Amino acid sequence: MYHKWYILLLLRLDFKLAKAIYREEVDKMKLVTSNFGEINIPDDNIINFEKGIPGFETNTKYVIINDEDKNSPFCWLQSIEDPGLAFTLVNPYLVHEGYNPKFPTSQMEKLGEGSQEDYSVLSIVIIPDDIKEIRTNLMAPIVINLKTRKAAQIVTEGDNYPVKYYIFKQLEKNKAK
Amino acid sequence: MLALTRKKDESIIIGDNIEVKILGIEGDRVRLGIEAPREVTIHRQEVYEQIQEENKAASKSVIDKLKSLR
Repeated sequence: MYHKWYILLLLRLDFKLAKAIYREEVDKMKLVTSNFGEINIPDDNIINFEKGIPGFETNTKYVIINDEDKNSPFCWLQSIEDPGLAFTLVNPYLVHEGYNPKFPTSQMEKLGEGSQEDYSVLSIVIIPDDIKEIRTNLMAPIVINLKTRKAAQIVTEGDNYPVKYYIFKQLEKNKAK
Repeated sequence: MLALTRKKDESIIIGDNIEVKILGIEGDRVRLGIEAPREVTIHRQEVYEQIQEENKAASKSVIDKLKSLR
């Protein structure tokens, strides 16, 4: 859209103005983050948490940042409202064999329509000073509907999974494979 | 905090559409029944608090530390 303007204005040799408009449009799609530097945010990549997550109810828009290392089980949930806020997420299925969470239907319905393959389940990671104590919350993972781009932190049904699940050993094992 | 005393089988109504009923009392345990619309989440207080605390700890995690895993 703004490309057209850029070209039109250039043709009019209004070079300075064209540059300024283009930069303004492009700036809207950039975020300067504390952990990942400047990143681009395509509109269709934004994930919406209607009510945020417990403790962070006012942060409702996030973008997922993937690890450059493609073998990594981690990715990050970067807040758009707060560029200094990012949660490390891990694929829970890679750190807990047989992880099989059940989510209440009423909570899943809030994410809109989707079939099983439309959902991504990722759990929040806590990295303490001692890396060996690294843990993840399996009781209440983040569930993302990739089709609707809606997400929530949903408490699993039953008391099957802990809030604090230590993953250092499994991560080391996975690396060794 | 509003404090009420209820006997077994008695209820409390919260707002228009949330009902809390005492289903039974056994020693120091009270069994509660909760009737609420599907979109209202209900959690044991300590569970919700734990999740909140873990999220806050997660937000303070130093991501660079992950490099020591590699």
